[in-house]
Amino acid sequence: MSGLTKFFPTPSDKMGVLWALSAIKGAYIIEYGPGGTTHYSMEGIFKINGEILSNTYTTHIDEDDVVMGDTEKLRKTILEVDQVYRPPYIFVIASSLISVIGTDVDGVIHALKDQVNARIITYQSGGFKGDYTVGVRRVLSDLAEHVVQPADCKVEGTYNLIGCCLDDYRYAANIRAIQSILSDALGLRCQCVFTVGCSIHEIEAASSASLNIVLRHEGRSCAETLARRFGSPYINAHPIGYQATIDMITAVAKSLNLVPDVQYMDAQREHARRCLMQSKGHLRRAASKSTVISGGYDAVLAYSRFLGDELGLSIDAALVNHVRPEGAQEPFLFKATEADKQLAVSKYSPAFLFGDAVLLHAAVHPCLKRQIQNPNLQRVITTTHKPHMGFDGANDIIEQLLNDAV
Amino acid sequence: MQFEYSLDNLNRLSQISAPKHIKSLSNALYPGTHCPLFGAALAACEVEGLEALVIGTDECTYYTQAFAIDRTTVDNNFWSYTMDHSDVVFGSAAHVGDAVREIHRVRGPRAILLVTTCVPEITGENFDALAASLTDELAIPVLAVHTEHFRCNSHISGIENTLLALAEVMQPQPIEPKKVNILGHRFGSITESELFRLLGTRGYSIHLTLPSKCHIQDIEAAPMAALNIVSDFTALPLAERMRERFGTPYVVFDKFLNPRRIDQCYSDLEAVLDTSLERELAPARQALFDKMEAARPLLRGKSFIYGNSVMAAFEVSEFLCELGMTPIVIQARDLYKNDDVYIQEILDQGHDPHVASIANIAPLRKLYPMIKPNFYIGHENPHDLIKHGIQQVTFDAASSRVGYELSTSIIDNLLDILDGKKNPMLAMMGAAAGHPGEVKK
Repeated sequence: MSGLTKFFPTPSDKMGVLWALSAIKGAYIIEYGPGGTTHYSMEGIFKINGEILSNTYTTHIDEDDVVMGDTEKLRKTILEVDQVYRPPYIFVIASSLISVIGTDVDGVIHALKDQVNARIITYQSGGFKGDYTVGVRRVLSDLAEHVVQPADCKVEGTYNLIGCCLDDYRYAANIRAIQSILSDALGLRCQCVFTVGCSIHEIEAASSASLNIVLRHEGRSCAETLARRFGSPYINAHPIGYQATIDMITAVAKSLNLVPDVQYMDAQREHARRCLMQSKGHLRRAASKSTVISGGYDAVLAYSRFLGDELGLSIDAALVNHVRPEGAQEPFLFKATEADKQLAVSKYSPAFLFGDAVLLHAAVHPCLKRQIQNPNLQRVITTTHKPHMGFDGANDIIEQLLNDAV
Repeated sequence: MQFEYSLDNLNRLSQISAPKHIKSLSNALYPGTHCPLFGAALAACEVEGLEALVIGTDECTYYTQAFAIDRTTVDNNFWSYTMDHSDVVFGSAAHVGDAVREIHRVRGPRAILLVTTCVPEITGENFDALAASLTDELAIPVLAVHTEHFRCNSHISGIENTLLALAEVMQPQPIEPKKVNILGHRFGSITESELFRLLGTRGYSIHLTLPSKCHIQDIEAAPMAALNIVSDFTALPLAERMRERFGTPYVVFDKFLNPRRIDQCYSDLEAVLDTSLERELAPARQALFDKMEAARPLLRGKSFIYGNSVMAAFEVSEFLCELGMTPIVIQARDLYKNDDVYIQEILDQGHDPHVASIANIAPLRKLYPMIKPNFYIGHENPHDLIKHGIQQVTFDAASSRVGYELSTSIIDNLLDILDGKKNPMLAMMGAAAGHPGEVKK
């Protein structure tokens, strides 16, 4: 039924905003609302294995503020953060409560414009304007529009990764994998990751990169803005599986007019060929190839291609946890609920489950399970060398298939 | 307006007579206090046979579920009803009613808790009426607990109100004279405590510890106990309610450190049980006095910031003063029962420290180089403390203890830290950071 969930509701746009901002080094975030929301969200980020690199504060508000519409706490907190820490930008996020009572946050900030040095970027939806993809998209677009500054020139052999945020499962390992591949294959250097581990100053300087690589659809408007403002070209990629990884290298090489290292590519292709041959032989003996996938749109699309097209598994259900992105034509089930996941598992009794932890939990029958997305239930990640993306990610999936397929 | 983080922004202890006198060092708070929703989850997530439905925004419900999974298991008793803008404008009661019916159908619980949050409280829907109506319809207790954070400044009221709500599932029982309930104990196992061992020698056993991992049927039968022992003030409203409804007497046996207060707790217990415990208590009491005497020369003049512990801020600080230590800053959440007594006792010993609102570490860190305490009592990033030569003491290991042994173990903890025996990680970090002398040997 609508609104009721046993595990996790679809995260709101406000949660997406906070997730996208929280891994930026030196970002200053003020949450305007009851303090418990901020405290809870900080702890919640740890539970999706995220690392907080921003400075996040709450104003807290009390009943007087709510009843009397008193915005003094917001005003004082902005002035204090501006004066004490002197950040170039302050991101102000209105809580759901502030959104519901209709406080004019922009009005408060407008009144402060002559007293504050920092540029203030506000998020007022309170979580009522859509799911987390809306919030992530908004932050990435705002960074491109308001934070990235013109550069003197493009730096050859550099690129930005756009759309890798701390809500991405195994984001740290995936970033390392992509950086390693593009370094080995093309000698490229990553300038900035929107929005994990980079500083505000690195984001400001991101326009000097020669290419932007968009890893999830929420980053496209960011890349389009950077193309419009700075003439930066971009490609879309989600390198899950061998072919998608090779496609990414090829697209990057083409865009930058480079030739991938032949020795490196031959070695990777040869290893991929052997792994695929071995796995297909193994899967031929499998009683069932039924597979169910769940997660974000880009992951579901990429996994369905790798598992279906390259490995020959039968993708019986592909469930996307959020609304259908603009232009997405695939016959996936969007806004998939817990009941949808339970139903897919009951209907197909899949031998292979690739998805978020809620999907994996739904299956009690023997099958191969691999968590590829959040929401997370209990899994703790400490390593950064086990990517799901790139050649190593594909190798690791095949290794699991060879060892654990039922 | 110029902002400067300074202790001068705070009130001194002598100026504290109401919660509003406990000021924050800054307007920008980090990380901020937990909210009552967290308190409700803490109190209810381990009760089998009870299902809880959180009504609120995606993030309130999402993070509560994450906490419940972390605290218990994936298949815990917490559910979410996520409000959208339509619920805000047109009301959510009908949908929440359907959600409760669905939970009832799927899980067949003996009781259901409706936990409201900030947004449904601000829209003003009457969830008490909804709970009453669902109680009639489903023939099980459906209880409403209100956890809006804009009417308080911590999670404490969430614990209090959830425990109080659970009184409504209780049923009159024949009294079992040798059964007691422990109310409010939420850290570790009470069965390992001095108090429990003592009760055991007189043939008493515990029927229920609340909050804890228990079944709702244990709560229903709680009035069978001849006595409630309140080991944390959060359970006082529940104890009062049980006395009103079932005549169950209670004694307060909080996690006090000062032996005078522990004496009083045991004295109250002796009066209710109509027995003398003196013979069994004497060794533990003497051990504490011996320990205090031995510790005073070592701790005299050592300064501290009180951050947090499972005990009461002012009572702990007062005890540390009795050991000769000097409070510089006491971080406190609120003013609770008898805090005025502890405050006066600290003042009477010649100390008048600053008092800061809890859960706001960031500005305090900027002051460490100036105030340079010997100890930080509570949770804080050890890296930030060690940089300034501050030794960290957490009292977590003593959290399950109640009675003289609690105070004794606290002193042992302090002396071990002072002696470099405890916290080897901190010692290692100090050495690695090139400041081996900061962890005193």
